Amino acid sequence: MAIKVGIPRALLYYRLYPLWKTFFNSLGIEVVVSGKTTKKLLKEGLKYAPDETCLSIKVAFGHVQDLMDKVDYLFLPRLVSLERGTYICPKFIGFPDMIRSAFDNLPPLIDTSFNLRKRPSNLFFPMYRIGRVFKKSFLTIHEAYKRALEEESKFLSSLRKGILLPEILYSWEQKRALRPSNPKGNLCIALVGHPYNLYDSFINLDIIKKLKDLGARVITPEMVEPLEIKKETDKIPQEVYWSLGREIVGASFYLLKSKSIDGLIHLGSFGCGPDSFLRELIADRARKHPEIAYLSLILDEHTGEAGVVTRLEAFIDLIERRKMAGRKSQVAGRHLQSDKRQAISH
Amino acid sequence: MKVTFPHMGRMDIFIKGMVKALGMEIVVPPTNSKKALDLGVKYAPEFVCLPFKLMLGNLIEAFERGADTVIMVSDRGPCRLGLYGLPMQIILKNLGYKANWLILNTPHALHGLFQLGIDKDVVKYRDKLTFMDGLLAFHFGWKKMLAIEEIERFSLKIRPYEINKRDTTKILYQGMKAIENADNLYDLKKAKNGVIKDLRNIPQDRNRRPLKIAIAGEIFVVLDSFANLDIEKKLGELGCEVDRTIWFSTHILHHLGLDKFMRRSKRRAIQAARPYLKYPIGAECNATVGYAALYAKEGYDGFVHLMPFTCMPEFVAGGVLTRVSKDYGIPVFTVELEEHSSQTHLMTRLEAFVDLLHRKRAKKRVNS
Repeated sequence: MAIKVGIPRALLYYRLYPLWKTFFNSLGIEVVVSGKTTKKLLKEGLKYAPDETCLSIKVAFGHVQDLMDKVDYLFLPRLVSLERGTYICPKFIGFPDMIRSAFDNLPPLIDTSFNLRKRPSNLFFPMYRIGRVFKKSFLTIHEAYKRALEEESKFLSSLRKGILLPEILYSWEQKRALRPSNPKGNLCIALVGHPYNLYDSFINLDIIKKLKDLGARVITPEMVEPLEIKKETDKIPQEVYWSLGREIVGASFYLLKSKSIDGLIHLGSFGCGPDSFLRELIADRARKHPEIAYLSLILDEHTGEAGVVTRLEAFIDLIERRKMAGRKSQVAGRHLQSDKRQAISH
Repeated sequence: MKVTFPHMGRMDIFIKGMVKALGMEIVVPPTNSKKALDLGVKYAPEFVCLPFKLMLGNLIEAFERGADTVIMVSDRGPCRLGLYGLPMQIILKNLGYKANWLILNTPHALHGLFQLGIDKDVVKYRDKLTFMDGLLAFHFGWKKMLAIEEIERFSLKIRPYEINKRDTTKILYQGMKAIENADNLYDLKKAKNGVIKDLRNIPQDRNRRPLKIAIAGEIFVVLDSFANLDIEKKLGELGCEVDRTIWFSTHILHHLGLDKFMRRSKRRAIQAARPYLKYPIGAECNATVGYAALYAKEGYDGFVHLMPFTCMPEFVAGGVLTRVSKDYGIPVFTVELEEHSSQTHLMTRLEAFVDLLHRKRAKKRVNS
């Protein structure tokens, strides 16, 4: 019987799943993914997770709990950094340790560190160490690594074509043809945020589908060329050293500047450290582009669906009305910003 | 150029001492207070950590007093501290304050001072000063800092024994003021020795057996008595001998790599955390976990973990501490500090915690 390795459907699953799955399958190891996030799963996670944490980590605890009894190994890589000179988030670094402290009777963890902060080329070494856990030979691991990288680059290139990530993941997993469902209408909304908030349809109350139903084409940070993101972030006086944060800021700055969008929605989760700063940066830039409407949504485990729907509808209505009026409103965009500073005159 | 800086604990004494010796002009923001916090909360992003809010409040108050240049520390770490400058610049600009920012892009103290030394605005001052002036000024500030820390440390030892409550605190505040006003090394030494003598002469009940409690956590809230709601004094007055793990001087020494031979150094704590945290996460996270293990081995009764709400590294430490607490049998009390934390709320929780520790100790005595 093949060895089963469990990957929680949380955190960077949405980015790195093709890489990991191809790698493990080429080594002859079966991959088990936890189920989609549900209310029950989140509740289970809350039992174990410390209460002061951000929503994303709480959800990840739930996924680990879901996987625990089904697999031989639990794959929780310690993601320190995946790009030169950046970090992901301190919580990602400590995540395997937190899991180990919170749960008893865990299956063996594979918590190899991925640290590309200093040398961007050494992705092979952590992968090799993972392969050695299963006593595979160097050549087998290298072969698997090469195939995993190929799949990864294919995955990334199809991301840039403006197709939404969950659809690509679905077609990749089921080996089916891609059927892009993004509407072709001329209403275009950029949805920025961390990938584990954007693509987990339970956490974000299926915001992508809701936007699509309202007739909007959705653009996410992954669809923006990395080069453009780099150009934008280089202009910021200080280095934004969270790689996901940098992507979010760079993409939203680029999209705001390019004027190809009608509205920008920032999706943050409650208690997220980087989000608290990113919101400030994006809101400040959005203020300089009054022709593009801006909305900031914060998600937590209690977010009511009706509230989000109302806000989204109002947001879309505003954009449409503005389009109908056929003039670039200088004022309307500001109503939506949760902006405390403008009210105060100094 | 009127330089200002945000507060962190009693760091202002170090900087004031240094600047006094150099004869430069600085604007020290009023010490952390409700007003600074309110200002910070009003303008800061919603769930940013408490230090950011307090520092923003400090800077606004300093600008109102005429400051025009800000010295701000920075970092490349995963913690938010490194990026404080970015949103602060935006917020203050939107408020209409024009300021020049000197962002020390390093956590390394000496490197930071060097960066300051070659900054083009500071160079104008530097013409008049020699290297020796700078060194002497640094030495004086450093000595002042050490004096303050010494009396603080000593007061922690005296407080659980005092017969009349708040005696120690009163003398401590007077002593701090005396040390702050000292102009030269001789006065400084005299002031310090005077305070220590006063502290010794406080009426004490030496028959008490105080509980031993260690305090660790995020550096800002551990150092700043306003941010941590005076938790040291509260615990002391409840009859506990408190040991604080982080001091301004030990923090600097750690970054200079000079704490190799100190008994309770951060370096040792990080080593002690190895079994629980396999990777250096940054900030004080590993040290917090390690200190809990170290102090438990030393026979301490309890451990207080301070963190600002939504602090990222300390949150990881908090998660891991539950396991350390189980393994070593040391009760851990985590306090999350935010702008809504109230004195009475904390007091009630502390009383319950101290009660628990007393009961635990009594049980131990019966069993042995």
